[in-house]
Amino acid sequence: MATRTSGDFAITELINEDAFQNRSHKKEYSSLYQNGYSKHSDTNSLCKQKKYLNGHTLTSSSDEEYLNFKDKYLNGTSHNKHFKKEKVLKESFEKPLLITTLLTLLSFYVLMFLGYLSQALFPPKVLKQRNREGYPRLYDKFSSFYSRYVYRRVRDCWNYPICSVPGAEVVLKDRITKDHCWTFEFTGLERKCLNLGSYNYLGFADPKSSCTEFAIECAHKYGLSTGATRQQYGTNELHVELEKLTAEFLGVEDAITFGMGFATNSLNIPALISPGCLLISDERNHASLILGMRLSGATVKVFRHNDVKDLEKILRTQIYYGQPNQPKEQHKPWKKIFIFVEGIYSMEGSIVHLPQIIALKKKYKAYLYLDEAHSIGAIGKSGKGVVDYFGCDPKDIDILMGTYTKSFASAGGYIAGSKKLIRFLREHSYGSKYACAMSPPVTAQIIGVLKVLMGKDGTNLGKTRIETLARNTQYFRRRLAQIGLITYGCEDSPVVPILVYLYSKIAMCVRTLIQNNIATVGVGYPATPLLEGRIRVCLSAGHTKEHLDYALDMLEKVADDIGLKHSRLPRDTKPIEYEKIELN
Amino acid sequence: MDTFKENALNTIGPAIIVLVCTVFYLSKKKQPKKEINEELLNERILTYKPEPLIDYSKIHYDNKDIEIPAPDESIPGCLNLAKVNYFNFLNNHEFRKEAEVCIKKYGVGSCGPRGFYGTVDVHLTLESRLAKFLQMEESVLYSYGFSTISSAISAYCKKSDIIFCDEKISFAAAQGFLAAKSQVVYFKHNDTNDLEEKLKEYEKKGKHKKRMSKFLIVEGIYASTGTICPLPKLMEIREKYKLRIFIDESLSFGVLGKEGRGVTEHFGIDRSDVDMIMGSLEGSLGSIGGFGVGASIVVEHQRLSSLGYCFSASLPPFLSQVAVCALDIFENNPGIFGELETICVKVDRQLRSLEHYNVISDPLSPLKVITTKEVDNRFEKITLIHRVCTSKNIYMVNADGYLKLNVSIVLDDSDIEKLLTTLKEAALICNDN
Repeated sequence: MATRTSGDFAITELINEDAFQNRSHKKEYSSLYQNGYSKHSDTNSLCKQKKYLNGHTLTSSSDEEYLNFKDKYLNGTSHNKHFKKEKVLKESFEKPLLITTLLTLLSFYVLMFLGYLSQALFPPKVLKQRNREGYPRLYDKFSSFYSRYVYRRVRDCWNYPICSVPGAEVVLKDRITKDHCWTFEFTGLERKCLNLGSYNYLGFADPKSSCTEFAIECAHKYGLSTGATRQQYGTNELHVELEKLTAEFLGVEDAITFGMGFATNSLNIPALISPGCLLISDERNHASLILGMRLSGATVKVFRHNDVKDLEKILRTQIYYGQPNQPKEQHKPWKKIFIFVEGIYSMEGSIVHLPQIIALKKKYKAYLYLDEAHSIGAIGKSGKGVVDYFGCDPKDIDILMGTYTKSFASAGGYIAGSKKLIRFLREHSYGSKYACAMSPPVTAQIIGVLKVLMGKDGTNLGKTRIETLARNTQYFRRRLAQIGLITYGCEDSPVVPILVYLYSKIAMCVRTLIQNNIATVGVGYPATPLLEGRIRVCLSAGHTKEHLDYALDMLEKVADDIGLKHSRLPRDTKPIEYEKIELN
Repeated sequence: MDTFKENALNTIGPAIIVLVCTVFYLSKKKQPKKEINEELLNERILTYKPEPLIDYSKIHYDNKDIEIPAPDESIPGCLNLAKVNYFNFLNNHEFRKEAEVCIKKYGVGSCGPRGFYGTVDVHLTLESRLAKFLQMEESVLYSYGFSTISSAISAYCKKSDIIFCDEKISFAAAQGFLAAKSQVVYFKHNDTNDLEEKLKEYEKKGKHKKRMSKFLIVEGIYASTGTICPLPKLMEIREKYKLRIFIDESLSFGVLGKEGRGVTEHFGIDRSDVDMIMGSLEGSLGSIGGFGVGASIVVEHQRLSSLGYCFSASLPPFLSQVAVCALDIFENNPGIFGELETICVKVDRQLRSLEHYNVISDPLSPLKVITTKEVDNRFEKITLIHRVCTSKNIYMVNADGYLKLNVSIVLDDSDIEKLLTTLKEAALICNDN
């Protein structure tokens, strides 16, 4: 089971004493660290060539084995055409200096020590539950310690309430704390910030768009909820239209939708998979995927983040050994093998190496489950996600999953694929059997956005948005590299993690940036590896060049103040002209 | 001499530990790795034949039959008892106007989880209003009713814990148990004696881990039967065996009790004795989403440990606003709970007067569950009755041999009359076949 979650969230979920103790072992640290990134260079043969392009390592294209796969397994002329001008993924996962690593460790120990000290000196101010003498604890001691004495000190960096649209700008409700973050009080003031935190990739959150008008219209026409499940009288024509449009947009046969993105994974994976199957999951997969895999009862193996070599190794050994615990000398192959990957990893900013994984999947007859929660709409020439970005055939992916929460500024999720698959899900998905159908205005908003993206509204607004986002991403990432900040992930990914390493620096960064009217998100252990604390920026098509310049200036100032310029890669000093950025 | 001995022991002790560790480490390394036979591997790869992606034998129906579309309620005489619409909030135009204002102000979606700028002030309002309405310390909001129950349970129950729960517990809760990996003991539906026996049996076994917690998880009104849980007796047992009790009030919240505070108010139980109440906004409130309420110290834990809360985008603001509007009505006009109760009892009495049907649900429950008196071929009979009623524009949920109908406050005598005559007719047609 994947114990390390790479979730969307910053703080102390899933923490338990055992996991912590495991990790506090020194050896674990180093291996944990290697698992993350440093192995990347020695496992990947192409990295031997170490080409640097503006501080990025060239991966993907020159991999010999991959080329072999391509010749062998990807027939059909249209693919070959795509592969000839194949995508060069410019990725970077730069290692910090050893001293930074040591300091990060030290600071974590100091933080924990201070936590224990203050727990001893200042007992928690929260009330005890009444009349519960003799009852066992509801949750373990360590998690309450961690949340009260480690996380509480920086609690003001998260859960900031907003009172406006989470568009390119967002209005935060100012709050202060008089008792070291035990409680907060609202000052009644509001603070307008540049929004670098919300997943509003295409900028559709803005309620002035035509999509929102359509949503309001549908709210009056269909009401706010259908009050029933999809299978039993909860389906209305909006749902049917949405599913048709989604399938058309993605270029697959059919699609099914659900009212919540998280539940799309956690309620459908168990319906599709039974014990006796093998699930191979990327170590940075989202919590909802991990939960779904756990609920299915199948065996789970974890491969190193985005490491195709490791994935292949696991595939080979697993096919070789088959299901465990068989009678002697008997070989029982796995019922089915599934590979679970995400399009864009929300904490790493990396893009899945899809063509290689499709090749592997074909070679080893596995099935591929692709979670496009962050990538749908955000990348690709026409916004169709990572499949579009690499120019792959959507039919090569067995199960395409995605959410409408991010680029579509709505809620819910979908699963798309072959007609048979969707029909099976319509009948057996827990989501359509037991859960409430999607709210009509939410559905209408997605329909509106899809129409804009597909150009069905008769304008090219959708295309403009996709291009603006791509341009913003390139500009922002390249400027950050010039400043000398270490960023993770792929050049084209609108999720930009900026590494700050130290715990206290996460808080410092987020606080200073909010003071300067920029809303960003800080992420630390356990959502990321212990040594890789970071702040994360999510770019949007709604951001203008002025917005980005302001954010970059502020980031540079903060970086100077607290020392974040860790990058030792050669810097391109040529000024970057926003308008002249070439888009892939 | 003594000190020397001590010193010697102090040195030898760690030395032995180090030695053992080294030996262990080395011996582990020496073990020859099982070589993979390349030929065999290639053969296995070539001959590996996975099962198809989906089990085709499990596809039974055509699309049309699987997803029954919502009926057109504008047709006169249409009686939609399939949807949950106790107070007719789904058709409330005031709510829609409020939602419009909200969408104009906040947009449709919230574009982020609660932690990352997805907390809109409406969420905070709804959370405090819910806590106030139930007179508890704090509440936490989820974006989907199903995930509320499963996530909230798995945030507390751990692998080492044991859960006692009713055998008719909802599917969502069962998913929560699965996610928690706890040991689950089911007791007979609403049978407190059986529960006590199971508990005694468990205590007898003794030798339990110290840190193990025992949970009792029940529903206020069971979604599968429409019956009410015997809460006073359960609370006694809880007290006696020191159980932590969670109540799933998805259906009973806003229905039972004089002021709609659920099953606890109905039985006059002090809510602070309940560890957590989980509920859904999809029931009486006519919105989408869910919530958990309890003491601050309990609820606080969910904000960091509940997967469905932390990792999911927050509830669309307008859906929270709708729930706030519904709570306004609950607080300003508590008379509606009495009205609903009257209709529930009336419908129950009428249904019980039918000679071919058994009513399983409680008279007070707005969810009525009926089935045929004859046990043979129940599934086919109910399907046939369901079809007859549908053809007469009366829509109910056909749930594997049971008919489920949701009472609404707008049902008048003629509607009930029509329902009864149709059910009678259907039963006759059914018996003729």
